[in-house]
Amino acid sequence: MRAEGNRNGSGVKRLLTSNEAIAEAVKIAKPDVIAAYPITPQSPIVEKLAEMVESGELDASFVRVESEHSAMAVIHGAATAGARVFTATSSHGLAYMFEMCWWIAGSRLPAVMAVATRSIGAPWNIHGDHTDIMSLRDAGWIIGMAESAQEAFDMTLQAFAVSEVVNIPFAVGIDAFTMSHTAEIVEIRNAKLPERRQAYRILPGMEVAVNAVTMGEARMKARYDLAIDLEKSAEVIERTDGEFGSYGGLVEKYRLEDAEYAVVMAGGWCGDAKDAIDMLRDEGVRIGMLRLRFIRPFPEKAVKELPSEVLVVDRANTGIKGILGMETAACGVEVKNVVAGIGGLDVGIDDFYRLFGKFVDGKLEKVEWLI
Amino acid sequence: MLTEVTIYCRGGQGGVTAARVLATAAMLQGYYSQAMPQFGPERRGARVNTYLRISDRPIRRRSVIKNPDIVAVFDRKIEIDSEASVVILNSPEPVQIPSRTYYVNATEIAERHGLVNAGWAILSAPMSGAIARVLDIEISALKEAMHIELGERAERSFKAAKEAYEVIKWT
Amino acid sequence: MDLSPILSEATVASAGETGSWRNYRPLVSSELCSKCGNCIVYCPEGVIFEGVDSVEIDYRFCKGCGVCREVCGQKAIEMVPE
Repeated sequence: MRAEGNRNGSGVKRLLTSNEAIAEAVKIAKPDVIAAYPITPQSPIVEKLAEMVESGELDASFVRVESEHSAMAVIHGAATAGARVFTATSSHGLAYMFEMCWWIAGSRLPAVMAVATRSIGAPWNIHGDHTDIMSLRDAGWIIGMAESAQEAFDMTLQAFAVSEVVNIPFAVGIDAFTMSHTAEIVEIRNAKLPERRQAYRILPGMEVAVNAVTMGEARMKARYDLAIDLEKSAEVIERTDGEFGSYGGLVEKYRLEDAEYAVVMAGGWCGDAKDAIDMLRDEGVRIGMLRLRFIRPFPEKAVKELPSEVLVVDRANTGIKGILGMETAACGVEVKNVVAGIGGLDVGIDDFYRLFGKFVDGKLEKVEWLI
Repeated sequence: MLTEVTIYCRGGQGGVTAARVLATAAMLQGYYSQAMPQFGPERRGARVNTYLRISDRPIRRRSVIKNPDIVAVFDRKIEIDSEASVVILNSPEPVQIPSRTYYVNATEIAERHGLVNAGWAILSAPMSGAIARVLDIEISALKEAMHIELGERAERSFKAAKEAYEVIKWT
Repeated sequence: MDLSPILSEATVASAGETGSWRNYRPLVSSELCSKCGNCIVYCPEGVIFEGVDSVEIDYRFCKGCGVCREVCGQKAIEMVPE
């Protein structure tokens, strides 16, 4: 048995989980400092990086810390001094790190973090949904969501390139287990990143106060500048898209050209949903998907161009609504919103097929939970 | 064409490794492939499923396999609750079930090649050999895949895999 | 990019000479002071330094809180009204 399907492209093909693909991308990015605390399902990323450092494959300082809060504090400090930095976490780890996520964003320091997106307890659950990474929305980070191990690889490299131009930290989201632990074919593309650049560096001997106490005026200005620059980072993401896999920038438009019905989703489960869309297309239903590759900056322009019938399928909620449903509606779009797949609850092609069919038949409530 | 395989095994028997070796072997033959462990409590001896997909087109789906084309059973004590048309069994003798059944005494092969750890025969090598045969994966691709995935453990494992590849029988 | 909210010049006394806020002045007895350094560690303003015969206080910035007197094991510091 032989096929030629995966022979395209120039890079070496390897079977990698998204965790492993991210570690390979980080190796190519040559970070100076990595600090992390293990947590399921992220741990294999930093275990692989620790092995690379130990074997000499990667010339970086791997700082073993006692908590995620310290992990982010360490990379914050290292980034202040001009180091290219990386960390990774999930779920409760991100929750524990949360305070420092605000510090590094507010300090306008470039940094890259992988988040293997996992439910947050209670009840205890190690499986996939988007609850954890969505909590970063207000902190001032760029938030990308990959769909495949290949995209996780490409987006991690793009994260360094973008973060270091716009001086905003960048989180790369991958779905727990269905991506983090699922091995797929990845082309190791040889990306060459520019030298580390950033807005400022603090080096020994410099006499400068960093993040001294501010009154409202300075804090307001800092927050405004960050919000504006985060919006503007869309231009850098779009401009560099071609160097990192050509996915379409902030969004991927799947069979949307002539669509009357649009589904808005993000993350690793979009592949199953696309297969369901193909089934409906075969039946003559004009349906397509707007896949949000980025949650911040939010792809408002693409959302506003959607046809009038929009279904947003969320893997994280705020109150009774889905978070992306709320975000999409905030762009002035009328949406139907379904919350599904919380805590790793499997949502397969048949489930999406039935859900999208109900949507097309006009039988969905304004907000529903797929329980 | 997409082929979906579900491996029924127990934690520690090598089901995840087998799926990875086979996915790599398929990749080496030009196919798209995916190896996905089932994600439950990582408990030795607990029953777990592992999923393997092979296709000549990119694989986008990442949900669990609900209707596998092939089921590979590492432990005969596990109930086969699937209507898969092909079943590959670790068993010393044929078993009468409605599916087209292949059988190989993977435990005996593993033990004879010293593939035992803490009281458990590690079945990834012989079972990946058996499954590779049913999937029509070439033995050379399996060998290379084992070297990629297992490193220095590949040599001994390949001998066991090759034996299973050659002796697997159907009923 | 405007970094002014984040970075500022590290100057001494960016809020002025806080010593002018003081009501009580700590006086150190050089006879009693053993230069153990306890007051140096505890001074919330960081304005006590090791001197030749005793610790010395930078009165330009000392706000007169009296923590140094409380922590002095030698009872070498006396708070005197300004």
